[in-house]
Amino acid sequence: MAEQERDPIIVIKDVHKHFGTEVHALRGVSLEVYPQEVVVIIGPSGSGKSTLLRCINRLEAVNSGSVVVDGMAMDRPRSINRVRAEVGMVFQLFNLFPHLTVMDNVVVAQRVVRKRSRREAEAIAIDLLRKVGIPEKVDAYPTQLSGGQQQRVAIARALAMQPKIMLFDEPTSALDPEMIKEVLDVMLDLASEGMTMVVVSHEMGFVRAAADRVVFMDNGSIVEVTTPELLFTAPQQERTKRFLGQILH
Amino acid sequence: MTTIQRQTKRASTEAVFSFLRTIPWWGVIIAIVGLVAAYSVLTDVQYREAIYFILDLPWDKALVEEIPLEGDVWTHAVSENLPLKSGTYHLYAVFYDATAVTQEDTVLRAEPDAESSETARLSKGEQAKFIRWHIIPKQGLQMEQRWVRVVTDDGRVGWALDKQFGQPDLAEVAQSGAYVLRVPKGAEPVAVDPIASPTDGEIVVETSTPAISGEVLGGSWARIYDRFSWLETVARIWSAKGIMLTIRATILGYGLALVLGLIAGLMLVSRSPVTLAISKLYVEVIRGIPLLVIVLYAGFVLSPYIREATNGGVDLRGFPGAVIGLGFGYGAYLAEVFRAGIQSIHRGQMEAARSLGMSYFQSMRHVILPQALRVVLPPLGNDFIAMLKDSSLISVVALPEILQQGRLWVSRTFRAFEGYNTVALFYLVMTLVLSLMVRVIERRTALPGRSEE
Repeated sequence: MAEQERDPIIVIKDVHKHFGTEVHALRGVSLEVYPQEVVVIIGPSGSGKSTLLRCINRLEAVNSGSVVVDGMAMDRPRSINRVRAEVGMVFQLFNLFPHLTVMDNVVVAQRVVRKRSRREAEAIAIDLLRKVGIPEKVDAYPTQLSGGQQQRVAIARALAMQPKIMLFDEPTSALDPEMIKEVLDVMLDLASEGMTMVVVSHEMGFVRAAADRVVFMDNGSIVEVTTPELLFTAPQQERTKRFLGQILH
Repeated sequence: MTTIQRQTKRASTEAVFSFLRTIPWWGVIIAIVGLVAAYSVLTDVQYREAIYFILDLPWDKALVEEIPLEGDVWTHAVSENLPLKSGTYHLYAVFYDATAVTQEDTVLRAEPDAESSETARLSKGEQAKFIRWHIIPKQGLQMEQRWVRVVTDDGRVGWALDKQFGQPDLAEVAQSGAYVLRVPKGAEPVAVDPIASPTDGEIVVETSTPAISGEVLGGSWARIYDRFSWLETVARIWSAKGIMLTIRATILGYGLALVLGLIAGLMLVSRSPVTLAISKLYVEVIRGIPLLVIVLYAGFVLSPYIREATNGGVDLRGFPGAVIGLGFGYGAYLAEVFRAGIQSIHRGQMEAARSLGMSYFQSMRHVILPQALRVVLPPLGNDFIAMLKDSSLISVVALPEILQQGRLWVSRTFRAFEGYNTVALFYLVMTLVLSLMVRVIERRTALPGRSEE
């Protein structure tokens, strides 16, 4: 167990990412994430947090450096798809498929990618929808759900692929305050079950309750990697302090 | 003008406008059709013929021969020059009363002979009913003479040459039973005695040139028809000229345009510079050339070339070439429609699908296209309707679609008003029905909670 935990499941090495010629979004970022670890990335907007997250499942191609997930380098379309099936992702704007029912949202990728039978896929979907607390909405369309419900369906959709890693890209920042908790509760459950999670979020409650490590990014670089306790009590860097001062009031 | 007057005028204009706005679209159609109908009644215009011609009616039967009736028995013999193919024929005769108007002052005679005594006179424009015919066949230098015995309402009777009368109006008076003949395979064109009366069942005739005859049941004119089984009728409707050819060309051309448009549309959103360049070239070139020119290219350049290149193996001249022209031309427009539809789908959808491990094409197939299709349905419907109208362009390669048939009918009858009215009305009815269907489909495929009017 201890031996396993020493092998990182995500290895990011000296990654650079440019958008056009102007924007240098990532400036040599390196990070390792270990199995069953919950890593939360925080930082001001434009600091490259989301870009880093999206480089992990290759929604953004890196310009230089390497990203290796679960021992697989993503150099060919085929290997990229294989990695993506192992890495679930939850988006800020949910990105549910509006033309499919809740059930089909959770089923479609299982059928297409995992080649599961409809019956098998639906059984898995029902289990997961129960787990995220909305089994009664299977026949609804995404537009008929509240934001919190949509985000929970999106989590179920990602989990249906039985991923080894879950990425969360500001999962609660498009939600009304009263819906944030229902989504965070699902995430906390996942964390307590031992899911490896990389989360971009400013929910300090979640950081306190679930994070093993916190990464503070600014201007395309990792400024500080620390634990939640140290982050709140003794941040090392001046910029971290300033940022925390702004978001914690 | 005082203020009060101005206000009253404005109010009445408003009232007219608000009334006009309440007229539904079908009200406009009824108004147009009503106007044409009223004009037709007032000016004695006849549409029946034009409609028949443009619809390529009748569909369930074919006219085999027209027989001017000379005695109490008629005969129809298939000539050696046009022997029947093997198969079953369902022949029957329809008898008509014929009335016609004299084209000139006419002398009626006692016998069908220009030398015989005069019995009465008709002045130009008088109407007479045909009773019996007497046809003197061509002899040496003497032309065929078609004499007809006529009677007027006031009882003047006599023989006259039929060319002294205009085109007769026919009114059906009787119909014979059916002569059901089966021509077996390999039958030779041997002469046989005519079958004298309608048959109870199918008769196998061992010749490809059978003959039938029967009693005259009334009138002075007979037509022999071949009636088709419903299966043959359906096949004939599909392959009919006029409207059916327009529909056929539109459906097939649009099908081709959909395939080409979807492929080119997908290529337009791809990141590969090669596919992008190819699709751009196709779209820009085709959109920059009038569809008429493309149809001419397909009909007179591409099709003959392919025929030559394949030594006559692939002959696309005529209908297939025209369909290719239409499909190729519209494919470019549909490509742009599909491109816009695909790009209108939020890129988060593609990211979500890809993040689940779907390939690019799986994501397109299961996530992007189903959504994009809903977006492009209205423009696709519009383009279908536009193509129905533009299918009139294929008349330039001499295909007998609606316009070509209408023009043919006009050149035959010199009745341009009825001819083009009929053409326009056929298009109008079809486009209106289609736009109604498009609306219904749009409503059916709308997602809940979205675009609800």
